[in-house]
Amino acid sequence: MTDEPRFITPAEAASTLRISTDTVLRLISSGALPAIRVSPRVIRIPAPAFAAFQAGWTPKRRAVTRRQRAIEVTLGSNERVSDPQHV
Amino acid sequence: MQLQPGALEDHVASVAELLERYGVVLDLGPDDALELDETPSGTLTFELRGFLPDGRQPHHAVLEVREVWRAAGDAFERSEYEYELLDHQRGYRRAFHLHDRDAFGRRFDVVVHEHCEQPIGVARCEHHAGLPVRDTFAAVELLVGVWVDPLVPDCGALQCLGE
Repeated sequence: MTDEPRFITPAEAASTLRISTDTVLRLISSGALPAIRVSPRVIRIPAPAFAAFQAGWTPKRRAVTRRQRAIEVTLGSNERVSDPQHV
Repeated sequence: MQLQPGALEDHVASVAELLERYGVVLDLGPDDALELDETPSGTLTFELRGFLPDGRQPHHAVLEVREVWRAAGDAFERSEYEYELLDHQRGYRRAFHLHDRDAFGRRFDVVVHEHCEQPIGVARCEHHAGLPVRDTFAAVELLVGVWVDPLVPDCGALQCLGE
């Protein structure tokens, strides 16, 4: 199984899109190009997000339906936390 | 994190949209609606599940976002969450949880905890100390950020609760 790069840098995106790095950073700041800000100087553009951006694809906003459930829902049901006095 | 009643539908749609903008392929058909479940007590819950990257079998990574929202005065408050990343390609699980507040408070004096398994299913520690995840959008960025990181998580570097 090959482990392909999962992100590209703003400079790599700029080279691919044939625009300046500053323009890429502006796209990221505006939210047009999704990216992960690892630190003030390190930004990673997830490869799938860049592929979608390059293809001009934007997700369609999905409808949300409300369902009535008969039972209550709690998370963590498969985890156990014992009380201190029982440890 | 609080929202006004009636804003939860918009919230769920926005989270799904952010996931898809990051390239996460939701475990839904392209035109399927999202579901917000309402329990008898009025609690609202939702779950979003998706895969990274697109178009491959088996799925290399699975992202899951689960939240429980309860009425708090005039608003709804995110009372529980589970944010999960199962990276099958690199063989690890990272998770960020808020649930069973009272039990975790009594046992470990914490509200939230994390999970880290490498390989998947093998945990050096059952629960790790963690920081609260600010909101659902931060959770999506957190999970995608872990996925894009060229280094797999160092589970041994996390603080084990109870040690």
